[in-house]
Amino acid sequence: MLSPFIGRELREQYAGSALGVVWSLLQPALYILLYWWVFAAIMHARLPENSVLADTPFIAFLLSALLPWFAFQDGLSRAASAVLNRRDVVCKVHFPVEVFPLAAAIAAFVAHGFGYVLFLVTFALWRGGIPLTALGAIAVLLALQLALTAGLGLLLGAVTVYLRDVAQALGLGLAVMFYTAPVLYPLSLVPERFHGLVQCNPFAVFAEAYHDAVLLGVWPAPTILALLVLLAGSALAAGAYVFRRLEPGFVDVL
Amino acid sequence: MLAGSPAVVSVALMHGNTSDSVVCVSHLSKSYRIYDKPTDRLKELITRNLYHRDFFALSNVNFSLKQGKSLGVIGDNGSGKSTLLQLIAGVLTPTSGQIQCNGRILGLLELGIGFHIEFTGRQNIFLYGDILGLPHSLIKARFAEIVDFSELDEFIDRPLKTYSTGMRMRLAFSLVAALDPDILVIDEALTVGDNYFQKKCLDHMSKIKERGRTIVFCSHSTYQVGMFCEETLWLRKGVVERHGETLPVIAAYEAYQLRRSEHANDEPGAKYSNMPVHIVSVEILNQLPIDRGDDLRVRIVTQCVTDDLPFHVMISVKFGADFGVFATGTHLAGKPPVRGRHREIIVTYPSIPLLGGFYWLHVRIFDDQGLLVYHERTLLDPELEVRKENNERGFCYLENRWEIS
Repeated sequence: MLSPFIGRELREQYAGSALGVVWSLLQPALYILLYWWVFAAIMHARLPENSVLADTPFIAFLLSALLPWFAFQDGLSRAASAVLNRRDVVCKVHFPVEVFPLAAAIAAFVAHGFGYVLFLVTFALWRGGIPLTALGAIAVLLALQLALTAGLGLLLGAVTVYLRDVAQALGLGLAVMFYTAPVLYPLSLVPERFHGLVQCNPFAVFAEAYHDAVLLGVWPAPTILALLVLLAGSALAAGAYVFRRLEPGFVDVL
Repeated sequence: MLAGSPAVVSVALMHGNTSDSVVCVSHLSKSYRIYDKPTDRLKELITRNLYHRDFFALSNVNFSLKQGKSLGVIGDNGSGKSTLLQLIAGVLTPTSGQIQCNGRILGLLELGIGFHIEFTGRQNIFLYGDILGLPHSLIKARFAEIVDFSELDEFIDRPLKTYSTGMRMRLAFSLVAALDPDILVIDEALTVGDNYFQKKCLDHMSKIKERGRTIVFCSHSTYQVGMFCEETLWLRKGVVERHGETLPVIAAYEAYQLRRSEHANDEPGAKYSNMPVHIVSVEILNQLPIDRGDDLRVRIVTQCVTDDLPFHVMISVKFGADFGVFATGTHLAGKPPVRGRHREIIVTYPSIPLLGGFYWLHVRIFDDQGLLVYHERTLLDPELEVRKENNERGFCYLENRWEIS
């Protein structure tokens, strides 16, 4: 049921443009170049001398959490407007509407997943291999992140139908999440007293876990892992619950 | 989409013997909450004070439809037709009441939902299939048949944006035509496309009907409903005005439409108040309803301020809002003008060829040149009702002879 709509989501976004699906790789590539230019080439950002990451190139540090962030950001913002954008189907066909936000979240993962695999392969070649434990951890983290995105996507997708302002607020919320998560900078540069605050940002926890898994080949600590499982599970449950409660009224509002 | 029967409730049905009903609607109502401002909706959610008014798009609709029967739904814009169809198709959730459908429903509230203009006709067939819940394997197996039906062979690999609206509808309907639902719910989807394709679609609907499928069909065209449906439901402001055998319901609906248009242009009495000739009365002398072939007799009484003012009298038989069936008059027939203070004129139409329906009379008095209107009067109540016959369509019986070789 879901798979044709994931494919459709991927193809539709750039349908009619000359480069087509290539755009979904070009866009993140451009952002990566810009971040790299600002932080590595101009600011000469280095990872702290005395840390375990000291000899990791900044670009590898950047990409290990930035690419998953792109998937999260894209997936969530597309899922949030997925029901709204399909009002013709919602109003005219008896259809399981939850397919749309789910397909949007998954499609974003698939699109950015290609980039991430490319990065991981390059990184492994440069480093001379990547530990299997790291791959396992990365796969688990990605799966948890997808569940979180899907859950929040269902929730926001349903609420947006009633409250169009959600789309605007989401843009701001995502910006806050991005800059407060240790994606562009390592957590160790954040003053100690802010750490508690940063940990409130769910993506900060994910970003740190990606750094550990990709760059150090380490699984997240059991407490962190449990926290992430709890987070993803409750997001899915809340999303499914809210969506089911709000769905009967979609046609009335749209 | 082709959905499993939504929660078939046990046999607690109404309308007596309905065990063979395929669609059974009981006490169905749908109301919307109307808010003055969008923020009122939010205020209500938060404060739990009520800020809305209820608007009933449909209230207490009951009917049941037996296997193989077709139900026509007619009514003015905003009468709740589409709401009813959306409810049956499962798109809307009822506010109260129940809908029981036994079988797979295909709801065609609009053709071509989910089409994307940048994709080709071929891709769009699959996209539309996804929306209707059809597996790709089924579409692949029937692809040739679908394209054949659409007659869009040479366009099938071009993007949809190069198609005309009619072509898009053809593409959509050709996929639908390959399906075999138990219950087909159609909302005026057929009013698009050229005549040739409309006919093809109607033929296909007949075929579905012949296969013993059940159809719920909503249309503005009382003609199509009359051709197609055994039963008709007339909705007015969300309430069932009449429900039953198609012909009487349609006749009543047409009469209602006529009465409504009459109010729109009420008798402009004042306009003629200082004219010399007045129509005192117009009266049908027959017992109503009349039958085709009766001699229709109409009495017109006129009054004039002087003895010798010449005037012409014209009488039209009309249908619908202002559709003239036949008009004649003293000047049109080459007769000399009428004179006199009091005149009683009787017009006879021998063996009138009008077919079943509701007509009305329009009488006008002109000056001796037939240019200036002295007075006019319409006879809408009682309407000229001609009894419906089963086997003819149209306004007027035309003698006909067939030679088929």
